[in-house]
Amino acid sequence: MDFDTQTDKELAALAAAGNEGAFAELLRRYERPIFSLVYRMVRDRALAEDLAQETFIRAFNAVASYDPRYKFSSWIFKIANNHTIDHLRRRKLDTVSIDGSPHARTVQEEEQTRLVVESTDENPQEYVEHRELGDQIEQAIGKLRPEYRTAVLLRHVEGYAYEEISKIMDLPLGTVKTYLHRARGELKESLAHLIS
Amino acid sequence: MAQKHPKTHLTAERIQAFLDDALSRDDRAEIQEHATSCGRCQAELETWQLLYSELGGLPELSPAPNFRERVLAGLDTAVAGEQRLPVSAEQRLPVSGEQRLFGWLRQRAVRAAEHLGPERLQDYVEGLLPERQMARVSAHLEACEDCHGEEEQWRSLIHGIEKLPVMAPSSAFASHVMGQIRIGRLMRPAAASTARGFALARAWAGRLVPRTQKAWAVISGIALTPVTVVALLAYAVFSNPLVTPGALASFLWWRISDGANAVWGLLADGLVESPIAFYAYSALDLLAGYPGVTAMVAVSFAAATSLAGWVLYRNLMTTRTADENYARASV
Ligand SMILES: [Zn+2]
Ligand SMILES: [Zn+2]
Repeated sequence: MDFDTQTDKELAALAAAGNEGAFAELLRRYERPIFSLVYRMVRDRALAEDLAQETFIRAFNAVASYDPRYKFSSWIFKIANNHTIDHLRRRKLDTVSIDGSPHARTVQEEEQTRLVVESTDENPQEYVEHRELGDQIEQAIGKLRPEYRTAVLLRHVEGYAYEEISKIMDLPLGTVKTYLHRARGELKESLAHLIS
Repeated sequence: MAQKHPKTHLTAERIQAFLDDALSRDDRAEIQEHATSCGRCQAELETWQLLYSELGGLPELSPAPNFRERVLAGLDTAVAGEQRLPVSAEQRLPVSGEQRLFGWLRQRAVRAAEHLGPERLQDYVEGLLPERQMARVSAHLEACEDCHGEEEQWRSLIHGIEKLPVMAPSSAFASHVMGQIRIGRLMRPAAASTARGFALARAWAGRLVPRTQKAWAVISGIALTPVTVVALLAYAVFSNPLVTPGALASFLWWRISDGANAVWGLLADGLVESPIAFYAYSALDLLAGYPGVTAMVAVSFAAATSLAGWVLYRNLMTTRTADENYARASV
């Protein structure tokens, strides 16, 4: 069966019927976005990998309960976000303790973690600059409250519409807007030296 | 070069003519020269500039031939609505329409000159404001460098976040996940393909289920139509003086027993003799004795159906979901 032409909903239905290929295709579609979100929430690669894995295992084992009236992507992002926020609350792993560098500390880690840069048309100089700016932005995002982090990442990294974010985060639309206003405000302040 | 009006401040007319590009080159130069040396007139000029860009963003006020008349006509209400401070003796003196127009326009201009707050700017950059407010904000941004600078900062912040790379987990990630999925692992191929068929059918059925309230309303409307039609038909039939319920009931009774006899034979005899059929016939017979009651029942039935349809329509078409309420409250 040709899986990459199927919609997420069709794949979810096939997965619910026990089709292994459908699970693999859904995993292929969402492992990077989910891992990116979780990683930027916890800023620890090993932990992010565990949490992302648990997200997929939970979601896939409960795929029969997925309601096809909603977007599959919203559903799985919701599971990932809830799981990660739960973890952050449980471990009190909040903004204070995770102020380290967002990039791998050892060569091994660097190899384990492939970094996918989507725009390949920029020259090496620009790439380095972006990476440095990116580091600062990553750190600034890491200092936000977890809820603000989720909202900013879903909006500006994953490109979700406000309505979709309110579904994923289970919050009223007005609250999502407020979170984004405040989150951007804090980021602008901490990155003032870079963007002015 | 001798200055013609060195001590005279710029009048509103001259400033407007300047902004309308209706002056000679020399006059323009003179105004610019005066404005650069006179703080008061420079401020005045800037206010008018802002006002012009503000008006540019207001579609309902875009200068039509009778623009002034229209504004003057609506002025009293506008001024009354906007001035809440106690009116001084000076202000109570009769003023010309032109003066009042200027005062009102100035108020607008001052409001236009208020800087844009961070939330408004973010919403603007995100394209969340209604069209009219978008136009107003962009008019302000064109005229105000401070706000324009802020806007650029928001844009570059958002751009910076959007440029963050997509990250990939380790290569062992997928196999770890796949190794821990329970469902379907023990399913035999035949069972799996049947289940797959069911699953696809369910996905298709899911697509057919209406998702919007409008769709539900349309479907309910369609479902209600036969009931309403039957009710109206019954009403029309019974309101005709030549057709009595008794005659109709007898006719139906005859048709039913005839058809039933032909189809079910002996079974129909049982039906005809059954107490239920007897009671139904008695009820119709009783109603036939009271045409007024019958008509009232029919009318009530039709009214109740219409009412039910209307209530359904009101509920489905005019209630707002929580999301829409939030969207409204925050705009
Ligand atoms: Zn002057
Ligand atoms: Zn401004």
